[in-house]
Amino acid sequence: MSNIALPILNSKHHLKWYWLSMILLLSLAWLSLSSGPVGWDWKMPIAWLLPNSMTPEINDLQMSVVSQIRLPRLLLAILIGSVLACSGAATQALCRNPLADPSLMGVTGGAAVAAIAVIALAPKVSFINEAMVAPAAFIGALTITSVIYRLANHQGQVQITTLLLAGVAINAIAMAVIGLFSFFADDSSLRLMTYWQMGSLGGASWSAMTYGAPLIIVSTILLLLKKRQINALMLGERDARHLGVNVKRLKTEVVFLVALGVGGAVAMAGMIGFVGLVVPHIARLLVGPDLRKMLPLSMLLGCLLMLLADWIARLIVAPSELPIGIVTALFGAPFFIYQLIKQKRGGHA
Amino acid sequence: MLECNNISITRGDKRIIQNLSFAANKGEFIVLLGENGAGKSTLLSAICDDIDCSGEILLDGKPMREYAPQTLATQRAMLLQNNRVNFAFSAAELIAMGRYPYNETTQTQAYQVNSIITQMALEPLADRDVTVLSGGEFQRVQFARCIAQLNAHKKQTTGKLMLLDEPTSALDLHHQHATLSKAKLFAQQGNTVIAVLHDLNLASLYADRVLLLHQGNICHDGNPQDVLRPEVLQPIYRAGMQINLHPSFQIPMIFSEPLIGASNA
Repeated sequence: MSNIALPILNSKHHLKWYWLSMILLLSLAWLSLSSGPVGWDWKMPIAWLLPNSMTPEINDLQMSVVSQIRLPRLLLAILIGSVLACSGAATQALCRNPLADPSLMGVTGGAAVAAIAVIALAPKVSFINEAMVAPAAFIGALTITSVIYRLANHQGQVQITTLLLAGVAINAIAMAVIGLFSFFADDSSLRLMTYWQMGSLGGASWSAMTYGAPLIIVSTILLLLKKRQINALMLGERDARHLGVNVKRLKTEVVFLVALGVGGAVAMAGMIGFVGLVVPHIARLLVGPDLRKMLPLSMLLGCLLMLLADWIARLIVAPSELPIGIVTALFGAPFFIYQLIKQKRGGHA
Repeated sequence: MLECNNISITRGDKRIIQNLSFAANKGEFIVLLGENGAGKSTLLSAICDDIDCSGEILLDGKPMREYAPQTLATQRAMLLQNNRVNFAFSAAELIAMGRYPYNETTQTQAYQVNSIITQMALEPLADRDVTVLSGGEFQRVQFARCIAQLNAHKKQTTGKLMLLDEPTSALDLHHQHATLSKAKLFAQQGNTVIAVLHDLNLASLYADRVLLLHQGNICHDGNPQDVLRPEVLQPIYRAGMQINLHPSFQIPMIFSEPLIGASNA
């Protein structure tokens, strides 16, 4: 028997991309733990492991900066990067189109409106507090995802034009509502809102992490566990059903998990766009569209992109920092336009 | 064995299929014929549970809806019409997706896919991106995926049901015959194949049994010699035709006539 298909299906070439991104991720993580406004020292990430005699130049303040500021920020970048990439890839499979992305569809906007409503109302209404930001963002994201998916889904086919246009409309409404809240907000809330709108990892702390991280972790793990089923969904709803996938249930689960992930991400870092669009595209270019190989790589690349964007955001205007959403948008938006042109010409991702 | 009892399907106000009943036996290659809108694809969709219908559909005596989805997927496959994939899977990866219902090792899966690629002469397409394949090439890959979905591992595949909605619509002459021969062979192994075709001569060459649908019901059911007769076909297709026997196979061949009465002869 000819062995022509064996090397194609059993190919392990995706592993090399896993290793490469893992090494890059570790290096970048080391770099971001070692550098910052309080100084740069390559020994900082492991200073707590080393005897004092080896790290005489690192003082307690720097040590606590690493453990209380840089480490939570690093973990936040990793969580946000992996969940945004994962939900982007899952949304694209759900919509059967590589142009679908939670931020373009207005899901991120919906989550931000709900989060900002909680922030704006928290000082004024006694029973609303900071812990409600993440659940509110999740509910906002879930509402928008369900509405928009129903709008764009026609007899099992998702109309990408409807999806993107509805996204434009929902984002416009979200901006208007956010504007309305800003109009009535006090100064401290206003500052928080601005930061939410542009996305930033600056709010990272261990206590803030407890609100949103569980949502993100649950969403990412469950999406990863369902990658085989979501993969079949890329063939189309009818074909997936004929292969034995419970399509109705899977679609509900994906919508729910994407909303959970995006809600958690928005609650912790605000609106960070385009990661879910750009990262899965790069992963598909490297290892193909099969989610079993592509989804884990997307997660790694998502973390990598997030760390890189955060590093650029911190470096470019140091000692101040740019909101990370600006950096991802500056890279992502031209990429989106390029994809639009490519799809118009009949190409595919 | 497939049994459809009193199937009725309504879409909006229109009744597409009315009280249709038939049974398909193992080993049979059944071709569904009929004019556009006669309900052929709708009937296949109902057998696949893609659309709601009244009546009863039994597979091996058990209502289709009582099967667990994954079990059913190993017993029944369907090739859809006009169904493109937007992601750049390789043809081999797409065929491998047919193995979704089986919990098998990557090695077994690769062996299965490999043998199907070889049997169906798809080697030149195996690692091509399916989004850039021509319509016909893609149709062949999708057909191979259906075969992969039903293929038993290391034993004869029998007792399965394969539904093909216009499997040859985008194919050249050679591949029309290659695909239908493969489907016929599959039926001869003890499986049931039901295909919608528009080419009456291909139906005549390959079908064991022809079901002629008209206005949502079966108006003729029999072997090609019984059904493919001018007095049966002319009122349904509203075209003039003559029928001669194939010089080698002694089966009916249909020669239709242009509606405007002119020909190049």
